[in-house]
Amino acid sequence: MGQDVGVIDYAAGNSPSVLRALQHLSIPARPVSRPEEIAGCSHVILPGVGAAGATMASLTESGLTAALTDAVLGGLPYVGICIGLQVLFDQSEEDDAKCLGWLPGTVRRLPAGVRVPQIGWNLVRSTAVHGADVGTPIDGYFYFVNSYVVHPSDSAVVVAEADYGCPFPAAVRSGSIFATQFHLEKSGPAGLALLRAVLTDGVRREGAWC
Amino acid sequence: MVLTRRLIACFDVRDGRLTKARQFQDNVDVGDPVEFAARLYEDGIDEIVFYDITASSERREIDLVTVERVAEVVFVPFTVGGGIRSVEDMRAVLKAGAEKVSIDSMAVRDPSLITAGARAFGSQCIVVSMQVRAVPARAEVPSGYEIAIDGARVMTGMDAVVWAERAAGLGAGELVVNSVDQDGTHAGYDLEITRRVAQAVNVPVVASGGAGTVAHVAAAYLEADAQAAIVSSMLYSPRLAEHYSVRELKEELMAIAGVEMRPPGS
Repeated sequence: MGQDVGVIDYAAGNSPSVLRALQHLSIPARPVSRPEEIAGCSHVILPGVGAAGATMASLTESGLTAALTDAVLGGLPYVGICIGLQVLFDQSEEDDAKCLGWLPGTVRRLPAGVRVPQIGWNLVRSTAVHGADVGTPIDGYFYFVNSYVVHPSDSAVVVAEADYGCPFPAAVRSGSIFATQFHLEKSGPAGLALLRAVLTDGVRREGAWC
Repeated sequence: MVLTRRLIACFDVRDGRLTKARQFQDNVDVGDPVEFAARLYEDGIDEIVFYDITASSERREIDLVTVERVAEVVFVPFTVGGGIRSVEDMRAVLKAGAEKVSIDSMAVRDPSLITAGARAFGSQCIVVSMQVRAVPARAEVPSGYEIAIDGARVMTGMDAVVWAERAAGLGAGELVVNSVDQDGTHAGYDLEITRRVAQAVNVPVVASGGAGTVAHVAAAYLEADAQAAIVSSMLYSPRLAEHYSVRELKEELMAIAGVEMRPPGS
């Protein structure tokens, strides 16, 4: 088992920001841009700031889609940030993109009546039933930048939510998968603390959570 | 429970130094921008913007070294503007650690740059900063606010509200409305044009230029419906005898004006 956190590095991602945050936390990490680089990683983080379609195209072109699917469905802990949350599901309205499909559900545009993109700090609350399972509470203000939100078929994967026009999932967890709609790497001390927690005790390498 | 209003600190950075201008002139030296950025981050600022970040005022190269140094100590969103002429410039700034790029005169000269940037990096990455000046309303400028470029020295004949709608339509994810008239005066934002832009577009709008008191900042949010407000003088201008800490500013905005914000220390 390796010690490094692998940060997926692709054309439209913001892997440098995540690597800087991990460096600040003194967590060993390295960029991963080819399938063979996944070996030896303790976790993989898929960050993202771009569009779902472009992200999927980039991952597939570099062979990472298949390699990540094998590794994560085989138990390698996965942390998704923003687009890294959205691509977990079957399909996104953005670019009508087919996504990873590791979790059943879709990704849809924010409802009418709010400014899009959502840009800023929103109050996140752990959902009552599942909040305790995360290993660390997810309550507080975190930084969001998104035009789309996830609609999981199984609401049990939602561990935290926030409101923007309507309630939406702010964080999901299923097995060794943990992902947030907000930017852990840009949410100040609260984001860094949560990032550290999910990489140390919050995401287990194998087995189910409940 | 709603999205909180953002307080953004704006830095004019020239030759690696933090400076403060008044109406785009008379820049005076303030200090090391990295040190100031780190201090404001610790103090609870929601975002930081660096403008006109050039390594050499003659060669106009973007100061990527300073961008990188800031990104190493600031873990809130960081926007860089000034000197960005192409998608490649944007890529370099983002790789160096910025989350967003702000384009201004170049967007006016070549509006396709907005769309190209949004396609490459997503709309959320592309901020269009508008320098607006109050003018007598006329046929081509019906709002009475005209767009200026090139350090606000050149008037374009473009109506500010029309340009705001066009920029958002081309893919800008956020608009900064900077009043050239109010800039550095500490007399308050131009609420009128900020409100009109906020009403005209569906993307977030940032008030800029002129903040001198807590009441000015509160008015940007509550009267002009800006999602964010840029402050600089109040935090560090050598032209003001007293400065606010981010904590003081946020505490007053929350307690006195009832603005929803990310509380300091959270």
